[in-house]
Amino acid sequence: MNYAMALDYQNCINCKACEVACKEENGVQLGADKQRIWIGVVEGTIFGKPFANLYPSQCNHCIDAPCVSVCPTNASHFAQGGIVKVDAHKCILCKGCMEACPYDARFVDDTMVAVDKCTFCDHRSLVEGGTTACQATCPTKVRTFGDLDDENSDIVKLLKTKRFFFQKEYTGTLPKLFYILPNDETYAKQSVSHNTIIHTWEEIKPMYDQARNRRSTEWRK
Amino acid sequence: MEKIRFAGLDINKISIVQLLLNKTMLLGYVLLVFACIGIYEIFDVRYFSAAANAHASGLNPTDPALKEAMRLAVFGDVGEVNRNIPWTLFIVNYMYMIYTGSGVIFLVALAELMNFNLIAKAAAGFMVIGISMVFAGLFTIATDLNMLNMVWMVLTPNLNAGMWLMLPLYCTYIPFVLFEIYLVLTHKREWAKRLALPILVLSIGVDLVEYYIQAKLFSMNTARHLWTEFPFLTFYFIISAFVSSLGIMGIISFFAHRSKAEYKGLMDLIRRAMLFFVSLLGLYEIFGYMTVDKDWAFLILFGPFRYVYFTGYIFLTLALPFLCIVKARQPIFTLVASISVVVGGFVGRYLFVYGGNANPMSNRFGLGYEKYDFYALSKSFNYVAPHLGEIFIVVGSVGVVMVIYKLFDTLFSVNELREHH
Amino acid sequence: MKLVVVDPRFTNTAMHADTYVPIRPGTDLAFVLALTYVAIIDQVYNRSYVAKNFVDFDKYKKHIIESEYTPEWAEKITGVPAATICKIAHDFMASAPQAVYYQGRRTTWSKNDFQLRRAMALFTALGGGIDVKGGIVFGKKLPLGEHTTTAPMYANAKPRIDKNLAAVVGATGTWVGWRNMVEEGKSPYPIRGMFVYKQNPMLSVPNSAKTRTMFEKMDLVVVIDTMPSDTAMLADVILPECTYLEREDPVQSFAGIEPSIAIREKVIEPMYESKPVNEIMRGLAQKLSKPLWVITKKYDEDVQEELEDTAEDEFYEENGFDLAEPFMHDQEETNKHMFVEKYGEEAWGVLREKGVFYPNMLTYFKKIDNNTYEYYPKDKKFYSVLKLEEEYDPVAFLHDICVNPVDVADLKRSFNTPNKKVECFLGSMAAKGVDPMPVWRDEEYVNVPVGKFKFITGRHAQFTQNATQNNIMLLELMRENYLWINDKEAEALNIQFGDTVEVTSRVGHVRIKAYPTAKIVPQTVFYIHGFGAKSEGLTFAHRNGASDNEIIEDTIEPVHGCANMHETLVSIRRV
Repeated sequence: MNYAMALDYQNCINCKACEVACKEENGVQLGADKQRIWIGVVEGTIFGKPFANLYPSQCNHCIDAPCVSVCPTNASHFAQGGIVKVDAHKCILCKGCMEACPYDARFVDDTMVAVDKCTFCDHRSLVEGGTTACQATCPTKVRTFGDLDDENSDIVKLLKTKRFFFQKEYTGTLPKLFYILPNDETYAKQSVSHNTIIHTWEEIKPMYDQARNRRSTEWRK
Repeated sequence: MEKIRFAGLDINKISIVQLLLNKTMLLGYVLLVFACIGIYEIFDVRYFSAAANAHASGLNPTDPALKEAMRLAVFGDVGEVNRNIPWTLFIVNYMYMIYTGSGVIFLVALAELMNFNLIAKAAAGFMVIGISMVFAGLFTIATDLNMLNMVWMVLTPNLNAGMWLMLPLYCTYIPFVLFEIYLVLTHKREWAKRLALPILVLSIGVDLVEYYIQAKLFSMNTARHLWTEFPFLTFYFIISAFVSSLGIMGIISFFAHRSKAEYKGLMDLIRRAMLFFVSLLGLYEIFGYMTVDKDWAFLILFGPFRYVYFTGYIFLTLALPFLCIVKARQPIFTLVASISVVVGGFVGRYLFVYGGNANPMSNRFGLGYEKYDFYALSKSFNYVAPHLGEIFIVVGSVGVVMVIYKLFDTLFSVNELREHH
Repeated sequence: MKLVVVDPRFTNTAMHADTYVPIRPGTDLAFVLALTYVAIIDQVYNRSYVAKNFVDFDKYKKHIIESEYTPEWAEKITGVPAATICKIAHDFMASAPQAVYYQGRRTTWSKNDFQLRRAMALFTALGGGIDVKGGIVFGKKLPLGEHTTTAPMYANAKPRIDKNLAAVVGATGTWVGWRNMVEEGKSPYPIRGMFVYKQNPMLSVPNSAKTRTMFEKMDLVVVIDTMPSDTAMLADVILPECTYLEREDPVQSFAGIEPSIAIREKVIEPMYESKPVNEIMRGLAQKLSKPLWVITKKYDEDVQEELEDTAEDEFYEENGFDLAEPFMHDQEETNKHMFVEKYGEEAWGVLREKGVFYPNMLTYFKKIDNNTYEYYPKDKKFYSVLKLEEEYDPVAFLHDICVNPVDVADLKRSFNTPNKKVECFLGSMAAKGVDPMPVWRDEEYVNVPVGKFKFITGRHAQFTQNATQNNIMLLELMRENYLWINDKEAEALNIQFGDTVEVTSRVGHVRIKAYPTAKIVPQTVFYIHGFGAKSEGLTFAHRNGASDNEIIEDTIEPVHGCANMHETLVSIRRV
């Protein structure tokens, strides 16, 4: 089992339903900065014409998660399927994980007195037919959560038919948020930088499987 | 003064009042009060503020105080830790105090090895100031951490984490240094002489390991290129620490030894060492930024940090001291240089920590820094000024140094020059 | 599928468009007339469809061509390049009948709004895209049983006071027209009291100042609401209604391609002293029926006449003068009655359990994956519902998914119009002084003088009108509304992001923060609706942001009387 999420981000309409659903589902602390998931916006003009890129973002649950490597008490750990989670009762708030994360996915939840982040809703997503709160509510079908090891899962079926890329791949963390390359050519050119490497499933699967084998001994049941 | 002999040590016989209520101690206490206020403020904002607990408290909708707290949570900023800048003045002070303090101890060990006798004579005092600063650094970081959960460091340790290695490191280092101090103070000279060399060598080894682990702590953060790409971070820490450590030694010498015959010689020794390390640091600063990711280097050299960098750091840590100590002159010049590097060294650590966080992580797709709604400006520079509580804690940590040093001095007269060997 | 968005603003929809067409607000009619011109002149419209399903097309064609609604003419008015207009017209007709000019939402934009929507519908119809998959579909509505009640007849009842304020005022009247008559004292009979249910006119209707004076003039204002809205704060009496979670709401039938019936059930008992509106009305009516009956008996001649022959109690009960009678049943009872009559007890059980029902739901409904559900199989969806003329077999044509939509479009249909066809010329309108065909009149367009801006309003997806103004989950993601202003014009006025500016119109002024952006056309400013509440009862909405209706002028569309939302001129200055 190796859980991941695919984001067909060209469908995102910035309705904020996923952000609200996540906070309510998981009881996240009230406050604008206390977001487990968010929509990143890059807007501007190209030759005087306005454009806007909407990037749904959250924790990438990286296979080589730097936040797990730096945590002194193993509060930040891998749960089943490689989901990165935080044991709040072990967190000493050294904030090393927040410094280590290249994606700004973590924040301090003052009510839990610990560092918090997206958990892929593992209290509801791991059952048959279950999914994360954000996928369940998204009106434009941006998100697909699933198991990369299951050939029949929605996510694998989707990734086999599309090309995709990752955020900040150069950090080498092997992230598991798969951003689907938009089929609209204009949007693809506008929202993907020319430094980004585009991947296919055949090419990425062996590398990710290898990494999974390497790290899965650390994945707690 | 009357002394009590105990376990090879000469302990001064003095009253409790003299021990705990002399002028230096009282000044230390005043500073510690600052620390207490700071701790109270930080804890209040972090854990007990109504705004931090507003969401769950929304279950009591008729309470006006709670409504106000929820309004703060929605329209203001909640909590104390900013997600973009997690490591703040606490880490700056931790770095500064510990590296400088360890640097003093390291330098003393090196000096003894290389037979700089004047330093060796004042070893006791220097080593005590060093260990006091280490305690002050640990004190600062203890106020930042959730100490209630520290037991998990032992129960479920992550042995590869730089952060965890701090635990065995300081659990070994502190007793080790205390033992070194004991060796300097003890009457059992035969014994001390035999252990001297091996302990010295070990001491240098432990110090090197310490700086290595500290550098690992920073360089494991793959996302912060200022820390990961600064060349040979271990040596950068050592050299920059030595500069401030020599400054501390200069200041201590002024307070403790200025009326002694050895003063001029001691200060000249410190001057020459400082000149050497300041020059080395200067070279490092010039070449260091050439390899660092330009996004970070730009922010420090040409961006919003440039004033602090050039006036607060380059001027105070390199330029002014260099001018003061380049020629052999009266000790007062060395003293001025010492004060300058002590302040400038702190600024240097501040730039290092805040600089590492200054480049936002929000450029995730290579097309520019993201913002989180249309109605915002995307930020290309992250900075949050330290809270008042943090500043008070840092001020209070100076009090920790004073109190610990004075306690040692009152009991063991570490200010006295001792014959070595 | 190709999406073209025509908007003064680069909205979230425009972001996903294949083509974004910035346009000057209020000039859409010129744009549509030019599209029609191109379609007619270049003969790319669906000629067979028009031949079979239009009436008076030759009149319309003549009108369009003789008025010279060319793309070049439209370019001068709208700012949209003529080449773009031509291309869009051709692309649209090439995709027709699966091409729709979306009708639009939100009360009218400008004085020519009726003609604009008519021109849009006619343009879609020119492609054949009415009552066919991919076009304008009417959908089917699942029937519900009736819950009848007798309405009392009063001899002295007068027609609506706003009946003549526009050419064809509909059953729901014209709010702005009505309010202005009351506020200016021009009502034919005094209106001294008002019940407001669920609505928040102070925030939702143009010219808040007039709404306030109207309420202040009245002797009795009763507001039934779940929130202490701005309108509630002007009430003499507030009757608190409980929220949707605490009450059962009327069962609703949603028409569409995949019609369904939905119900909203109570999950907890009403809290504090709030009640569902049904109970409120019942309670009020029980107290008021008899005293009002006494007044009726005294002044109503028809009733007096009837009472000469009938017993009073019997007459009172049977003729609806017991005003509590419609509210005597619990909503659940009423719902059950209306639903079971058509679908039976078993279906009622399904509806209560699932919250949704449609015939064959249990066999049709399929979950494909976590993102995709099938509610109706393809061949069972209701794309075409109009009655076909006798020569066609509906089953063969409308429910066979192999039939080409172009062929489906071409069938002769019976439309729900007097001529049973698409009517290009409305003689009935001409009689009322309204143009029978869409005409562009320069004098109707509100020109923007130099130094001023036209104010337009709208929404963001996450906020629902002004009902969510106090919702912390939404406010923490977007704290207040901002004024959109063209970035170059903002620069000229030395306005930067976050600066507070004052926006002044003829009827009011507000202060709001500025958001200079390239996403809005010049001489136009915008901010979203639903902010700027003054009620102190709303902790988070209180004085948060700015209210659009505080500055929107209260002009009405001359055909149907709806409020013109996009014709206000404002001046901006930095404070």
